[in-house]
Order: sequence, then C-alpha cells, then structure tokens
Amino acid sequence: MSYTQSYARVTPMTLVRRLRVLPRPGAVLIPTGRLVKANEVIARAAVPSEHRFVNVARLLRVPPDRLERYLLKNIGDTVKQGEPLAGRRVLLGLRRIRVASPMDGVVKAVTGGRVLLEGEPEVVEVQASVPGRVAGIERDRGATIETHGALIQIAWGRGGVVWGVLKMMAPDAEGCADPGAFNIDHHNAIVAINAPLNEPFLRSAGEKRIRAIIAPSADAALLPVLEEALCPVALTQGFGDMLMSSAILDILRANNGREIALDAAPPERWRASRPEIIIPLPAPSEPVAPYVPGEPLQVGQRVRILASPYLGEIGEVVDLPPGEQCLESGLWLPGADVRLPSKEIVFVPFTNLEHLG
Amino acid sequence: MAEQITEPEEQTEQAHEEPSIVITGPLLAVDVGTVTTRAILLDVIDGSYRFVARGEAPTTATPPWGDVLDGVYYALRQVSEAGGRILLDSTDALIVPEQAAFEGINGFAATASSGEPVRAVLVGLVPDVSVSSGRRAAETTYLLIQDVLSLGDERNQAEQINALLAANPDVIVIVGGTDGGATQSLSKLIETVVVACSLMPEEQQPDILFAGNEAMRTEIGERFQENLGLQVFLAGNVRPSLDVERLDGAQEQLAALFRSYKSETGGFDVLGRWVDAATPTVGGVTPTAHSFGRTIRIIAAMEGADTLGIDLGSATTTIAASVHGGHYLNVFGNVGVGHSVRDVLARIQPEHLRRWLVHPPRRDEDILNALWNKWLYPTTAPATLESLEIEYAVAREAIRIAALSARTTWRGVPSSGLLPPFGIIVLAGAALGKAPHPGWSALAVLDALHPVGVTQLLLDTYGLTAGVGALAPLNPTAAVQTLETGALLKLGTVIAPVGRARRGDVVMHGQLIPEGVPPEEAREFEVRAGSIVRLPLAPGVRAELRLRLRRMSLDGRKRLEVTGGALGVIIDARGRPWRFPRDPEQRIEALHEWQTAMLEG
Repeated sequence: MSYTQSYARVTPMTLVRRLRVLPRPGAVLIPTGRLVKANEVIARAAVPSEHRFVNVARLLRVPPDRLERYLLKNIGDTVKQGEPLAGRRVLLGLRRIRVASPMDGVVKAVTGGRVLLEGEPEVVEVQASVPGRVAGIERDRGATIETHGALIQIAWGRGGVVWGVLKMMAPDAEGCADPGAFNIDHHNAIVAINAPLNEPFLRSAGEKRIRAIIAPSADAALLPVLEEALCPVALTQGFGDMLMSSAILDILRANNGREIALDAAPPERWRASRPEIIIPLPAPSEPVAPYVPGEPLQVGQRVRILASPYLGEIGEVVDLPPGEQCLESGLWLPGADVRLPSKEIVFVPFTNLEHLG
Repeated sequence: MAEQITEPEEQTEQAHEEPSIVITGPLLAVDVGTVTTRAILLDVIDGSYRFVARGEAPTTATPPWGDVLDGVYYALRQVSEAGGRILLDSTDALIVPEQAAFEGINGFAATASSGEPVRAVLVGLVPDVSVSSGRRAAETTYLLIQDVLSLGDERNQAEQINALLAANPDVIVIVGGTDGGATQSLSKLIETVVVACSLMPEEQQPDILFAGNEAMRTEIGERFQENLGLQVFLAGNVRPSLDVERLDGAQEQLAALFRSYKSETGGFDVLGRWVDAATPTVGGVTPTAHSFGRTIRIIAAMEGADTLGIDLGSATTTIAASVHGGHYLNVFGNVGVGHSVRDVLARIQPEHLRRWLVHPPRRDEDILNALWNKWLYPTTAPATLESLEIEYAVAREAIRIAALSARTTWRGVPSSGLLPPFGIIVLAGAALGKAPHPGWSALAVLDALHPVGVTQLLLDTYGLTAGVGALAPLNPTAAVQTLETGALLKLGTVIAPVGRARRGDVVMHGQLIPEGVPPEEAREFEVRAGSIVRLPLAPGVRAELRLRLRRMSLDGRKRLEVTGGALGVIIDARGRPWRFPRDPEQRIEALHEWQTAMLEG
C-alpha cells in the first residue's frame, strides 16, 4: 500500500485557510469577506475566573434553610469586594451583622447556606494571526481566515501564535547557535537560525527581546529550558542535532525580512494539528492548484523522512519497488526509494515517510 | 485503567458470553487500532473453523481522512483477495448474510481502540473502597481519569468546582455508599458536582454515570437529568456492601458510553450499522481491550492454565490475566511505545532504558532525542538497529510498568515480588507481533516480567486476538477452533527456575527427548547461571525434559512435558529474583549473550 500515514505542507505558494476560534462561546467581531490584519481581534469571550464559596449562614448564625430571607443579593447579581451579600439585625435590632463579598464577581448559586461567587471574568481574544480575508464564520466561536503565501509545517513548537518580521541569522551559514550573534536588527523579530539550539542562545534571546525563534533542532534534554523560554520556539526537524532541510531553508531565505506568522503550538496527539510557519505573499496570477491529501504516493512526489537515520530530510520519490524490503533493523516493510538533496538514493518504508504537498 | 471481574464473576460472564443464537458460516472481524486497522476472516475448512485471511491498513481516523472506513475498506479488500471471498456490494456495504458461495459473510464484529480517550472525572467516598472500585470500573475501557473527588480530597469545595471546570470531562463517574447505607456524605459531593455542571457551558456539560448507593438513584436523576438536562446513565452499585465488589454493571455502561462517543468519529457509525445488521445482539463497536480479554479467558479455559495476555500498542497497553480463578483486564491509556512514549518517559529515567542497550549511544540525550522524535512521529518503524534496540527498551519498560500496576488488582497475588507462575503468556500488539525476529519479543517479555516456572509463549503475529475475542459471542466454537488450529504462533516453552547462583556456575544438566525419539538419542545439555539457552524443538512437537538442578528449583519438578515452537525450548537460567550485572561492561556482555541466544536461528 503506497500510502503514508502522515501528510504535511512545505510549499512556497499555496492558499492557506486557518480557523481561529475561542476556547468557549463569545462574540465574533468581523463579517465574512472582510480583510483583516494579522493582529486584528476577530472574536472575544468572557471566561469565568475562580469560584469561591462564602458560608453566609454560618457567619450570620442562622440555619442554612433560613438564609434566603437575609440575602441582599440574588443569583445573577454582580457584587463588588466589600459589598454586603446578606445581613440581619441582632440584639433586639440594636446591632446589624453583615457578610461582605470577599471579591468582585457574580452570585452564581446559593446552596447549603453558602453563596457561590464567580470572579470577574477574564476577557479572551482571538486574533486573525495572518492578514487575509474572512472566508467563513464559526458562530459564537471565530472565523476562517484565508490568505496566499508560503506554508511550512514543522516538527515541534511551544508558545503559541506570533506575528513578526522574519530575520535569518547568518542566512548563508550553518553551525553553532552563538548567543553573541544577536544584534539590534533582531530586536522584536522572529529569528531563524540553521543550527541546533543551545541554552546560552535561548537565554540570550530572552534578554534581547526576540519575538520568537525558529531552529532546526534541539536536544530533548533542553526541554525544561525550552518550556520556560521567554519567547515561542519552533523546531523544523525535531530533537537532536540536525540542520534545517534545504527545502525549508530555501523558503525562509527567500522571505528573509518579510512579516510571517509562526504558530508554535505543540503538536496535538489526536488532532493532527501541528506547528507551522505562514508567510503571506501576494496572490499569484494563476490560481493555486488545490492540495488533496490522502492520495497514494507516486514517483516524483516530495516526501519528508520521519525517522533516523535521515530524520527531517526532504527528498523525492524516484521508485516504488514492489513488495517489502529489509531494513537495517531487520524489519521487512514496503516503501519507496527516495532521492535525498545529496543525490543519494535510499529506501525508506512508507511508515517513515510524510507526503509533502 | 483496570477491569476486575470479581464476585460473582462466573455467573455474570457466562451469562454474557452464552450466545442466544449461534451464527455459523464465514465470520468477519475488524479492529481499528490507533495505528493499524486489521480485518480477519474465519471460515469452516474440513469441518473446523480456521483463520482464513487477513488484511491490514493504516488507521484513517485522523485528518486528512477523518474517517476510519478508508482504512477498513483497504483491509477488507486485502481479505477479499487473500480469502477469495467478495465482502462488499456495489455500494460498498457489507454483504450479510452470505449470498452465494464465496460472497458475503454471516457474522460481523468490530472493535476499536483508536482515537482520543474519553476524559473522565471520578467521584466517590472512601479512596480505598468505593473510589478504588470506581477506578477499576472506569479503567476498563479507554478512559483517562482527569481528577478524583472524594472524602480524602483536601481541597475545599470551591477548589473542587474549579478543578471540575478545568478538567472539562466527557463523563463524570459517581460511585460511593453501600446499598441501604447513609447518603449524606455522598449527597454533599454530588452537590459539588451539580454546582460545577451548572456552571459549564451547555455544549461542554458532561454525561453522568452513577454506580453508587441505589437509594440515591432518584436524587441523581432529579438533580442532573431533570434540573440540568444532562444525560444520566445508571448502573448497579460497584460496592453494594463493604466486602462485595460488582463492576459488571458499570463496565457495561462505560462500554456503551465508549460506543456512543466512538460513533461520533467518522466511519464508526457505519461499522456500528454493519454490526447491528449482521449480529444485532452484539451492540455496535466494542472496545478492543474487552475482546482481547475474552480471548485470554478462552485460552486459559482451553488449556486449563493461568494465562497472561499483553497487548502492547502505540497509545495503550492492555494486560489481561486469568490467575487463581479470577479474570482481570487492565487498560493503560498512557502506556505505549508510540503515541504514549512521552508518558512512559515521564515515569522512568534514561538509565532505565540504557540498561537494555547492547549498543548504547554515547549520551543519554541521544536516547531521549530518539524517543521524543518517536512521540512526534508515533507511526514510524525503527529503521536502524540502534532505534530497534531503543524501541524494545521502551517496550520492556512499558510492559513492566503496566504489569506492576495490573497485578495490584489480582486477588491473592502479592503486589510485588516474583510474578505468579503463568502456564501461558500471550504477546500481542504491533511492537511484539511484528518484530524482525520473534526473539526480540520473547526477550522483551522475559526481561520485563521475569516469569517463573514453565510457561508457553504465544505470539499474535497476525493481530487476531481482538477479532477472535469479538467473534466469540457469535460462535464460541469458532473462536476455540481458530485458536486450536494455530492462529497464534507458538514461540516455545520457557523454563525459568527460581533461585540464584554465581554467574557461570553450572545450575542445570538435562536431556530433551522429543516424542518418538529413544532416550539414548536424546540431546543432553548443561546450563550455566546467568545465561539463556535455546534448545531446538519444532513448533507443536512434544518432548520430555529431564532436569537435574543445582541451586535453582522448579518446585521440585525433574521431568517436564514441553511443547516446541519457533524458538524451541528457552531455558532462562538468569535466576529469580534476577539482578542485572552492575558493572556496565559485564552488563553489555550479558545483554549481548542473551540477545544472541534469543535471535540466532
């Protein structure tokens, strides 16, 4: 079966559609067809913050089932910190006991003599993240944004979506990620480097207020540092000490200095969503051929290798030999002969290939 | 995740497995795994059921397909070609019943383990009583317990509510209280759940499964169903009294919930309709683990031996055991060699993996890199010898973690120390079933479990165990006959004596006398402490093994009946309990010897 189980895009020009949605229902702020900027807010929601119980009956010294008559706030009422929730007169009406709200919020429930308060909601916003046209609305949730440009789906990321200018660090060189190589030009930019990441480089990036880092690889042992990095980080190849595949490097080099969107969200185990780089570009004069994933592999098809010893390499299928072949590990599997950028032709099982569109 | 079928297991399970109508003729089963979709065809040949054909394809549950049917159709086409039987009509519907010779099938079953586990929160009273039973019931299928609320919870009620909202569960499983017992404590916890559910957006509100004090059923219905509009499922109390545990009702409801959630994934609805059309009594797509557990029970009953089944998957590891008269099923949704390798890594140190490597990379970081890349691309196969070794190092640790946890639910078995003797161990799942040499799988299991005594190893090379178990309720004879006629590869008999001796000392002299061979022509051998020795004996051939042991024991047995297999007879004289050589060089030398012994030939 000449199918791969993995599909991805690494292309200098395509039509990109991305759905941007709120984590819970809210208001969608833009209509279909509207042109939006990358940092434009397209939807907004109020997400409840913490909940807190106040044992009003105990504080008023009344049985829970008699609390209702002393309440000054009803379910749904907003309260300010210090504002009374309930009160009653004692000592023949000479003294008044009041129970004040410990926080700003809304009364959500009264149960067992206690009042449940919900804190002031936090406002959550979703930005378009790429400039483009609103191609569709997801009711109460968000919208699909459509743009032309380069699309590079990569291996790993951490830190969410950012928009900024791409700056290649030493675009024609490869080697060590030098923490001293940052300069004023990199300030607030998305910096790409063709060298495995190291800890001093990451720390220096945080100090230099780099907006995000794109690198080919990093040691998995560096993950605790990556998790705490002050800016989003994305790896194009994976974990280890690999360099960037030439297909990705070429696209980044060609667009050095352009504004790009980096989605450095970690890959999701069950949803096939993965980190990616979108580089908006003027629409081509000819319509872009639609990408149809799920097709069987063919000779001439570009593929990415997903396992050692060629992890992350992008090559071209030159033959689909029938039957199964023996790997160095001793496993017999069906696969394809792939020509690597070095011109070397290697057999790779279909399970270790990603169909690139 | 764990299934424990306890009192009164025999009656309950027999009632489940006794089919009202036996379906004869060709039987088809499909299992949709996380990585691979398999289809198998059983049919009558020469008066007995046999495994006739199989097909296999990548699972297509996730994008770009998002529909499991693509993989299912491909696997069915392979079955059609291999078995010479037309299975689908012109509209791609399953042909049921059989229309003509070699067209259609009479019985169909579908199982699944693919996709995201169901997110659950468990609510119960006492951690060691009802919560413990609830956990065992909840973990019988592909659930991930996100949080547990109980009387042992030190959080205040508001914190519990915040935790429930953050967990965003698909289902809340409520247990607690004995039938006829007090209800006040459970009511208080239920109040917390009610408040939390009322605060959730409507589309995020969970289902409720109640399996606690039966006196509270009405209250549960009123508070969750009538007041909040949630879907409520009721099952028998998992702890009707303090000393009785009944999990079957809760298990059935959880399986029903699993089916209901699965039907929302593309293609499962069609598979469910095929099942309903062919065999309405089965009730849609069932969890793979349940069918695997049923197969292990059948093998245990057929052979009259305590049997252990290990299904090592990419995302999930299932341990099924029939031991000391009890039957247990434990599903570990975050233990596996692909999708779950990151979770396994979180529970071990790199040196746990390094200790299994004959060719260890220079740095521990390289082991970590290999495994994190495996997590990024979990469907990949090891292409190099180094990556294969790392894969089987993870397999050992995953099996060890799962078995250690599973055995805590086995009645009458200490939770640590030597494993109880198992007459049979069944190895299943792609990592074990599709090794480049069966010695890799056998060695991984010996290293991970340290079995004792005399054990037959069976390997599920064709991925049949789930399908056979799923078809058993339709035709138990078909399942038994298929297993009897070589559906599982006999790897051989392992002899693992208890005791320890100095490495290199001779601990065993013996003779292997195959059936029909005069004793004077028998092969004589000796075995040294710390070694593994394989004696060739063809699959299915019986032999007598005469042994003289020194410093090690097999419960005093000196003559054994053994059956051959692909690996012959395996004598594991590394001693029990077994300790690794501490010196790194000695360790690598020993690993190399064991690997050579298991992989040669």
